[in-house]
Amino acid sequence: MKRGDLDPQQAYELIAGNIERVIRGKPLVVRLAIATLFAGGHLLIEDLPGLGKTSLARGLARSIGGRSSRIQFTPDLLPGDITGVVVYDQGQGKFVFHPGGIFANVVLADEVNRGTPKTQSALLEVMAERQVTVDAETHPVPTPFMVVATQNPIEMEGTYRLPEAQLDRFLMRIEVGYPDHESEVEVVALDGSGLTPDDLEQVIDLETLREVVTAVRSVYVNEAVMGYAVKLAAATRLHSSVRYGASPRGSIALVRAARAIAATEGRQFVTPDDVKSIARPVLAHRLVLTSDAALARRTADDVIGDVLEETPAPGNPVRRDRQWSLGAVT
Amino acid sequence: MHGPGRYRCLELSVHWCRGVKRRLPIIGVLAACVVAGSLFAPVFGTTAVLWPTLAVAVVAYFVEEAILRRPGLARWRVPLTLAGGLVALAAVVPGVAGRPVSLWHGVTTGWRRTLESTWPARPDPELVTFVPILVLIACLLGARLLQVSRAWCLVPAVAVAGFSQAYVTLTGLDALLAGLALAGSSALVLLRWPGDRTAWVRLVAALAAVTVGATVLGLVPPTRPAAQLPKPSPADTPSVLRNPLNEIAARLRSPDTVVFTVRTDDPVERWPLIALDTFDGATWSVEPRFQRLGRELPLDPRVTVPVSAQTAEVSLVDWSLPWLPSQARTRSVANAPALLVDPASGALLADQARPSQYTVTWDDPAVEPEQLSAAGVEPDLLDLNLGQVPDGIDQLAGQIGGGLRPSFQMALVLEEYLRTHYKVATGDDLPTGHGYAQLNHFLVRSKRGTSEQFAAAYVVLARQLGLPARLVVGFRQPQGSVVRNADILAWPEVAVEGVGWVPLDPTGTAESTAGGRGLASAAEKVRRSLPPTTEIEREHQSEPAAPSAQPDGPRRQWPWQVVLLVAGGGVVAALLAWLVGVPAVKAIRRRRRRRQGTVGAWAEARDLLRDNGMQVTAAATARDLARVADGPVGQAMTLLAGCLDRALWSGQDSDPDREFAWSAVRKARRGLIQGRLSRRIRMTLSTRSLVG
Repeated sequence: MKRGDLDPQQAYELIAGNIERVIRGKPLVVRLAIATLFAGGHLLIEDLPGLGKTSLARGLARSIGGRSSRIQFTPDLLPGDITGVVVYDQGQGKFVFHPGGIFANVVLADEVNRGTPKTQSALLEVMAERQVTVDAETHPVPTPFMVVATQNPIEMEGTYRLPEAQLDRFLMRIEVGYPDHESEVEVVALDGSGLTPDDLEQVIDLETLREVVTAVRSVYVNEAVMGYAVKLAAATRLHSSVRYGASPRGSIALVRAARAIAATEGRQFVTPDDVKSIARPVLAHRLVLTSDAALARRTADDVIGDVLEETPAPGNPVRRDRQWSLGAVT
Repeated sequence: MHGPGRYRCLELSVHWCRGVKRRLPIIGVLAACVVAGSLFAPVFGTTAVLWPTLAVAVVAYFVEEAILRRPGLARWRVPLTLAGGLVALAAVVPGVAGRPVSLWHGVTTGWRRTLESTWPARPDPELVTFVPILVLIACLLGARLLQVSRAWCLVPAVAVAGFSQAYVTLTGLDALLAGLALAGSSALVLLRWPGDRTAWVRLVAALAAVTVGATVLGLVPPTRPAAQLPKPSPADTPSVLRNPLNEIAARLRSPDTVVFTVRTDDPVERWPLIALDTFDGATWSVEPRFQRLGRELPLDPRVTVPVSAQTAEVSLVDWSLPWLPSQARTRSVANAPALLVDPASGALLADQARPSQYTVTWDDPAVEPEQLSAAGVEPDLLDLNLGQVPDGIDQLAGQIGGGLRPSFQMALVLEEYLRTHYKVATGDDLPTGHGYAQLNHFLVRSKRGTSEQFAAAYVVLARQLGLPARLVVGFRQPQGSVVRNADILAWPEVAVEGVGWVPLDPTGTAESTAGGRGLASAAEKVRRSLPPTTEIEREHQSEPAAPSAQPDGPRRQWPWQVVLLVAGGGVVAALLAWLVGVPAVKAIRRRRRRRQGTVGAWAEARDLLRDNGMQVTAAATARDLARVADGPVGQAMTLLAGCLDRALWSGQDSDPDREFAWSAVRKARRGLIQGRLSRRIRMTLSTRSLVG
């Protein structure tokens, strides 16, 4: 469905309005999910069962049309089920590549931590390079391409923790959380109406989405704001509770996500508040805490909170040589 | 304890804790008032001040407790507190119940009469009651102000404390303890228990400041500071007093008249009436600075040798003089109405009614003869100027002690000279007068005189030789308890280092007290073992001059007056700098920032919030502050945040929203002030944005 020339804010409002028909009372979660889509990233949704993780992913896929697929991760899932396999076609008399579930615009990797590490590793290449290599032959996935993975953080039996290399490939990790009372009442009423994510209509087409993604990449980021994002990522490496901090990929992801957030608000520039607002979902899952911090029940979100409180924001006056001047502003 | 009883107990404990918490501020206010009132303790004595101030504070507390339980009583706070306080004073202060008018005198003239008295003053209700009345008023005002402000409610107590320091400034450990007690009381008022996390910081800072201040006070020598109120003489002091020196000859003509009797356990050598230290060539006089005699006179700090207390009961028989027999180091007088005293000489004067009998207690230095023999003199104690001394007297002085250094031995040499070369006049033809003419006649020609001429001549000669001497008139104590006119005597006294004034007897007619104890006995022993003059001269010439602590003139004193003046000036300058400088600096800063447009508006808005007490960190953005601030301030900050984003982060070179941004700053300022003058003043004078 072609909607003509839409700017990112209009596209966001269309998609968000569509998804919020089935996901009630979670505008921020929806916003972050759409921002991930606009930034060309992948999304990890982590929360308890029954909070709408899958519905959010399915709603997102339905709203933008294109091909969508769902891969239910189980312990007996094989890498070939994801990437595809090469089989001998007797009719053609040659080996033919049969694409797996990953070949879609929006891939829902449900319960991704139930897959074995070997199977999870099948996602590494495609999430980073948007291509799959099978039998030394490379097969690009369609664009736009987005992996929306879900996982349950409390059930440890029969699950395999996602490796850091794969976590780092997700632009954001978000938590849906429990809805408030009114929203939950609406969700219950919605169940009676029979509306499911699969019933949602497509609101923008893939071509428009590509244009939006391109527009988001052109959002202006001041050097001071860029420096602020880098300082935040760097500060996570120096924190006493962190064994391994955010990588430069984290800094890049922070700026990309901030661009998308600014674009969804109709701005052509990024502010420090944009960076602060997405620091937790972008950086928290990239941190590896020390064992002492874990024993003290410190979380990555706590660390990001510390970093945000201690890192000076650009644009604030700082005292320098007994004169008031603006620090870190170009 | 189990079951409902346990919960009932817990409930009562919680209720009690809440009750105590509600009462802590008023307890703190009243405690601060009591502490402030007790700072008058050096003036009246601890007991005389503490009980009345505690009594009025307890009354004030019960009134506040009643108001807490029955708020309708609040309008009766003043009459209830005043009436209860006065009743408490009548019960606690002796003498008030019998003479209620003494309360009125205490309130109206007590503060002045206290200044006219030596300290510690007598705990008469006419004097002491002004302190508990002040505390009562401070309690009343403090309790009323507590309903308005926790800070201002301490002002009355601080005012009373300041008033007490105008009487006697505490120093050293006393100042430290008083400061800590005031800080502790203030903490009960100012801290909000529990949950006030910054309160501990403020408490520690206040305690540190008080400790430093008290330590500085402790470094000040315990002398009379410049800030103290002057201590005037009582208005009813007689301006013209009879000089008993002029009456010696007349009294000796009727020697058998009994003037007073003495009852004492230890022998007393003499009973001084007055010490004369000024001589104009014709008349010996003194300008006494009389004060009302308090409970006890402090010992002269120059007396460093041990002293022992002696007591005698004096009964006046045929007494017409205004002066009363006393001692040089009088400590106290009991069983007598109010008296006047010259603290410098110890001379007693009847105030209004002359007592017929009284008990006097004094300090007698217990000095060893060897120590006294080797002692020097205190040349700085007196102005030794005697005007134009006749040549004959001057030459005689040089002849007697020209080769000696001023010392106690020299004083005895001079005494011995007069004893051996001059005769005491007896009979009816007694010489009179003590001017230079009479002294020259006595010393050079007649060589015969009464103790009047002996003593006056001794003092003139002694001063010519550099000895600090004065002339004392009084009575000698004969064997037995009856003192007659025949016992009238004038004698010189010399100021000896570490001992004070030592009486001498150039007539040689005083009773020997060598077998007794005390100063007179030690002086007599030194007198008997005095080596020949030539030997003393040889010793003095062979010994180097005793190093003087301050050879270049009068004793240097710590310039604490200058220090206090500089400190006071510094405080005033700092206050002025704060009141004028802070708003001026902020105005200049604001003007400069206006030229910086939106960025300047953002800096100004941050400082406004900081001056208003909001925590503004370097990590906080404009939108963060907008979320924290409420109402119109939050709205203004949101507007400013939008302007700032466009100015700083949009990549535009222009600043189109600068006026809009400053308009938002003005809105934020109005929102912070909320039309209240106190907030405006606080924000204007706050230095947080300047030093933070």
